[in-house]
Amino acid sequence: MAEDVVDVLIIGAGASAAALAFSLAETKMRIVCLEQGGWMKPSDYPSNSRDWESRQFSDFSISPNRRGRVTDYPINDDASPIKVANFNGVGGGTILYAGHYPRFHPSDFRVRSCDGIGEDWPIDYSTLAPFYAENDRMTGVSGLAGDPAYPPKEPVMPPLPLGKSGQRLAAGFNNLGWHWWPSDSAIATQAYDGRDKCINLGACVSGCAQGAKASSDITYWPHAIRAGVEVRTHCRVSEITVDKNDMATGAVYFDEHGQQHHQRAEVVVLACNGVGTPRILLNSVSSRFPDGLANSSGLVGKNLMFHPYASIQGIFDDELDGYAGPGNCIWSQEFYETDEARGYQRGFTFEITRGRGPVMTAFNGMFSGRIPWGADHHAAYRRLFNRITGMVGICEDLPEEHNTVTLDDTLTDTHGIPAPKITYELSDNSRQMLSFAVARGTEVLKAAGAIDVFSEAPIRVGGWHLMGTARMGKDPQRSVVNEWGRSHDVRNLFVCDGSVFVTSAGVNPTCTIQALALYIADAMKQRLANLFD
Amino acid sequence: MSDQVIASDKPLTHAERRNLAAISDIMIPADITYGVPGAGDELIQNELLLILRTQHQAIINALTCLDELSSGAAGSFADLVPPERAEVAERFRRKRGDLAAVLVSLTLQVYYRDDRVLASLDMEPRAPYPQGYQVESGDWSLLDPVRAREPFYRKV
Ligand SMILES: Cc1cc2nc3c(=O)[nH]c(=O)nc-3n(C[C@H](O)[C@H](O)[C@H](O)COP(=O)(O)OP(=O)(O)OC[C@H]3O[C@@H](n4cnc5c(N)ncnc54)[C@H](O)[C@@H]3O)c2cc1C
Repeated sequence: MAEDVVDVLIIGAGASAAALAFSLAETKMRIVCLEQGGWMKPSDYPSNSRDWESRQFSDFSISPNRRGRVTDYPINDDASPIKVANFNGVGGGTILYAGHYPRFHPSDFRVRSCDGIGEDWPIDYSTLAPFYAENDRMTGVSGLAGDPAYPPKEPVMPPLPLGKSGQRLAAGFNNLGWHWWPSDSAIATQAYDGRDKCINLGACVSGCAQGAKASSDITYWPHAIRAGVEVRTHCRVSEITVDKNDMATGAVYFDEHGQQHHQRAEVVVLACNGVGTPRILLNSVSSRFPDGLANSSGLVGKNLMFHPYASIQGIFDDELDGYAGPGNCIWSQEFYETDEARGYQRGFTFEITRGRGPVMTAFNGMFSGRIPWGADHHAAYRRLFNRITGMVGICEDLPEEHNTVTLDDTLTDTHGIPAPKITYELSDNSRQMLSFAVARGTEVLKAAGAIDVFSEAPIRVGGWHLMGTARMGKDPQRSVVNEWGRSHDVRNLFVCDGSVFVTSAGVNPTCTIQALALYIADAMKQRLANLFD
Repeated sequence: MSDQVIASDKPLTHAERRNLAAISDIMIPADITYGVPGAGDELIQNELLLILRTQHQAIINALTCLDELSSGAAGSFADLVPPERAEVAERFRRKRGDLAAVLVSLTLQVYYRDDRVLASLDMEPRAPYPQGYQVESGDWSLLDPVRAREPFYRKV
């Protein structure tokens, strides 16, 4: 029997894959997506149960190494001060993401031109603008028009509530004359596209039981599947195969019973994120591609960017939102653009993180020495409970070739596939920016009335943005894929996830990842007749 | 009756459980002012035994260390008189901060979801879903000074 050949094989079913599959579905091509994880059940999310905070340390940990589900693969991140956070399943990282959903700024696509560092992107803000808008509609973005830090844009629904925490910090920003604005959020404040509105469960980063948070399993995927796309879950890809003409022929994968298969395809699209994608490319070694597939530039796995995060939290005298409400609230881009006088280049966004639950309050208090062991424990705890709010500073990470994803010499996943190894150093620029962010964050918290401030920089567990390891560009020697996501070396192989980022901007990436995936899909559709030329 | 706890793959012995309850009570003692139990309370300890599976070896090491530090005295940590126990606990924290951190982490996870503790914090003892919580929309006039600002994103 002839082997089954699909038109498009997408590997990974996370944020980017969902958007790309949805967009390509209208072509009526036969599209199959292979995903190593499964579908999530909202009734399994921790906010359904009393141990919702505790489960963030076990089956809903953001660290794949700690979570250790059969659907996870191990990552050796010992050689990095920032540890990888992800989720493996339909929806990918969006299952656990906070849903902060900022766009890049026009200047983010022109870093070298603006500041003489990093690289320029081969596309610009105006290229992505229509795809940002389409993605906002598909996602159901809440926010408020008129932010002076951005070119005009129209959120789909009203912003999340300020709450007590947001008002406190807004007053602090106003006292200093600094910018702030309600955050663009992938959290519905109104019923939208079959999803219900946010009811302030406060557990966004362990999955939204209400379905208000726009994880891709409940936004794009149902539409893509209705349009004919097939998602095969519990299928882990080990390598992409090629023929003697340097064209991809499909992928080898293990199904949930450990059976190995080869899925043939006319076009292969990688969407496994900034760690999973280079891992597969580096594992796809053949005599024609001895250093890994699509790697003639030698840049596969290089230029890994995370976004070093600073956390700056204040303790207040009066009650704030505490455990109630989504973490998302307001943000500030007062320090977004380069000002050389600050001692570093590029910039960051402050995102207010609202509050925390009873267990996390105790953690913060005990591990920072503010809540003691013994008789004074209770009084000290009550000085913190519902009285902590603050922010994170998301610092732009610059591409540096020595920050890498490679293959570990010995570590493998349950199928024996070599696991990724992260080697990452915090640059001096990042260190300076982090300390500036901590200083300014402390200032604004004090201006808002905080009686005590504590910080962590970089956030050790905060490797949740995975970018840059198969970057796009026009020059095949300086990039892995071209300006519309196609490999320079293998003309029917595409990458559509965060790996293609050229620089990281000082904002969360998923809005841009998904807009890029729509743009790449559109570029493919425009060129269907001569896609491989 | 068996000396073993079924709750875990690798159970704790009766003696280990006594030590665990004793150190938990030192960490978070009962308090009548707030009407809360200590972390050594039986219900809380039962919950703790359920979740310590993933950190089983660290817990055993912690309890062994407590016994070793107590060995000059009555033997088991739990058998020491309260001032001696407090002193051993202090030495344990200084000597094995890593193990103490594991104990703290697990204890907090179960203590701060106990009905009595949540009630003392005026929190309803329930899961967040499906009722959710109220958050006030807030005073949006706070945004007026920012609205008045000219666009300041960098033009390219
Ligand atoms: C705790 C947390 C909070 C976050 N908060 C935010 C936020 O507020 N805002 C924001 O913008 N971003 C946030 N992120 C990041 C966001 O989740 C990612 O940017 C986004 O999901 C990346 O999309 P992607 O398509 O590149 O990859 P992913 O969404 O990670 O999808 C990759 C998929 O590929 C699958 N895969 C990998 N390897 C294989 C293989 N060999 N075979 C088969 N399948 C494979 C994986 O299982 C996964 O499902 C957060 C992430 C985490 C973990």
